[in-house]
Amino acid sequence: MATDPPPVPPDLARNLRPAYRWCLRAYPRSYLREHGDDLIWLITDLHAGERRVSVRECMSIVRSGMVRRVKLTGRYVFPMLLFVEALFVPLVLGSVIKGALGQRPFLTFTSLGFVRDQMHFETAWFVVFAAALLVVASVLGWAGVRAVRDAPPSRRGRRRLPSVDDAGVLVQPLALVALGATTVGTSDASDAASAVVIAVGCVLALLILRYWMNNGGLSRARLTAAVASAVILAGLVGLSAEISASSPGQTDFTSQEAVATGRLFPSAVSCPSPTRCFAFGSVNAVVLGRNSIGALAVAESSGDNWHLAPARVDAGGLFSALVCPTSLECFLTGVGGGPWAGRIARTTNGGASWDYVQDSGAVIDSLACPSAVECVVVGAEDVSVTHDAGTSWATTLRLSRYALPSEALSCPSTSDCYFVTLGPVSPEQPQSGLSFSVYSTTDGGRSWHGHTLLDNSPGGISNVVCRTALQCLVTAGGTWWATVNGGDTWTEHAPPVGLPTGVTASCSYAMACWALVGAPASSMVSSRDGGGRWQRVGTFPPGFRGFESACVNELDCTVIGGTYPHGILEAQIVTTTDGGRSWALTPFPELPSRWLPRPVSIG
Amino acid sequence: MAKMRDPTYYTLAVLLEGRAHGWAILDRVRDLTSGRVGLTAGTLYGTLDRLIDEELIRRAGTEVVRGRARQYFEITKKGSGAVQLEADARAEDAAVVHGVAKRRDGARRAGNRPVPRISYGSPALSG
Repeated sequence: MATDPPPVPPDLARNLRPAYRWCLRAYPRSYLREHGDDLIWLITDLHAGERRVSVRECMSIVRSGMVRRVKLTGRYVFPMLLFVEALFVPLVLGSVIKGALGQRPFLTFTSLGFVRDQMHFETAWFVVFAAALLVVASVLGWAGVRAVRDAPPSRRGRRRLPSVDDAGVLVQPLALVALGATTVGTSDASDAASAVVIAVGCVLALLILRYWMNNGGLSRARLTAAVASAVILAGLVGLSAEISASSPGQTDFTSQEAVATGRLFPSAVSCPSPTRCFAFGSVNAVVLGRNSIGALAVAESSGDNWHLAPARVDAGGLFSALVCPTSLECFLTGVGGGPWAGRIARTTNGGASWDYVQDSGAVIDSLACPSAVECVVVGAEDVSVTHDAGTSWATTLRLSRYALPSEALSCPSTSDCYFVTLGPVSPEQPQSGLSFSVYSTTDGGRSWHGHTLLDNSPGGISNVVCRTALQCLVTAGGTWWATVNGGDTWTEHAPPVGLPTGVTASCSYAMACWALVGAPASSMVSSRDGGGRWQRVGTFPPGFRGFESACVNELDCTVIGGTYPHGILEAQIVTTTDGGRSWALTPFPELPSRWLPRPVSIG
Repeated sequence: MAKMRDPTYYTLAVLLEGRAHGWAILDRVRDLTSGRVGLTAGTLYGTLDRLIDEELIRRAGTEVVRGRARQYFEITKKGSGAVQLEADARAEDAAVVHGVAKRRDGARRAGNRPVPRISYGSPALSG
């Protein structure tokens, strides 16, 4: 059977043809090469005698052309998508599980690490990821709808129960809503994420079950759609968990190292005995004016087993002083200002609980506690001491307000303390150059003796190294001075042999001294004769850089610092028990997510 | 199972009569439905392409008619089965309403007028 159309007035056909050809561009070129002529003739015949281009016709051509295009490209796009998702999904799922267990996920936005501005970084990536996932979800959903609609009528069913395809279509918007809810929500991040995982899992399982019950089989296309939907859901949930777990914040960072929000930054370590160490790190997660969070990791048996003390401490900061005179008692303060300037925290139970024994708000430069009840605090303008574990404080020395902050404070015994300052020669002439002064006490800080050792000092790193309570070396700007009588007299001293300039050294009993070389340090030097002769010890594990050290004797030393696997700090602790010949690397304990601030809405 | 949509149904119905080219299908569909189902070239080709993908129809050569290359399409065994199933389903659907109407009319008139035989689709199909 072949009816033929009436002849077309050639002029009309010719006039309208370019317009329809333009509509036909929606079709893939390969299709037009084969069937374009046929189609254009059909259009011409169909609209013969019309004077205007039919918009309806053009729209319908464009639509079916687009369908052709999608079908053509879908053949390549879908497997590619699945491949990428197959790579992505273990990471995301693993992260979700780890996050739910309160551990640091594999995949965080910070671990991508090539943009340092955390806030913008995360927002930007959230938008990119969400947009990409939305597009993928829409395409899959649309394909699912088509698959359902165009399914060949091979069975005589009148009513149709939801299939996996519908599930994909329905669940994807739900997942997006869930994502939004999780991100914006104020509930605990990992709880919300795991709740969403469970809920979505249940819905999917139910739908798949219904599908199997209602339809005899599972075609490849439907399986693909189902897997892709599940993968996308997992990705969305993972993404939301990631975003809530990594908690972007608005911060005013004081250290480049800590720019990565939510990263633990180790800042102080103290070892009261060879088998017990305390390390302090803080997470700089200042969210909308809230402060950073401290953590005290406790180690026993020489750093083999580090664990987090049960209570979080709201003191300290990126630069902290931690002093633990006994294996249960510690004092902690932030150095050089920060969110808790002037606050001194004290524990008497190894970090199980903290109380705040000083909260003056004045900047503290250094803290030393030779016993569990005696502490000396050198602040920017004065020196105060306590003899009752912080219950009462007495200011025993006022400093020139132009003095530079000094962290060089050493208390080799409960009665003897030394610290150095670099300050103007006279308070009236602050520009007259730096004078290098040493202050010492022999009565536990009640009275101080000041000696100006050098006028017009070039400045530089200052240090106090005491081999005994009465024998000390002090340095500033490369010049060394020594006392043998507790600070009554000082004489210029030759620089120690083998000690690089500009390093901060400290000594423990038995004349064992250690010093980190470089800031952050890649190696250490040690001395066994009270700081006279120094030699290099074994190197740190590859990639490790040390910030602070606590060395108990000539064999045992603990260094906190970290590695930078992707340019972002991973807090680590290294320990040696053989004088630095070998070092063992341990990760700094993870902070529980409940200690971290709540997620911030970025929607 | 999705119900077959009208363009699909009538396209298959036309091809059941024999192979046809695009314009002929359009013309015949319009005839069969008294102009109710008006296909555009775009929807027709969209439908035809999809039916080819689903192997309900296949391309059946090109012939040059009056200087125009015309692509012919023909229905496959699968396609004729599908359209007949659909026709049965539509008849069943209609029968529901007709059955109700018959019972109601019967009750009202209490007569035994014969119920007219219902035919679905086009006369061409039944013949």
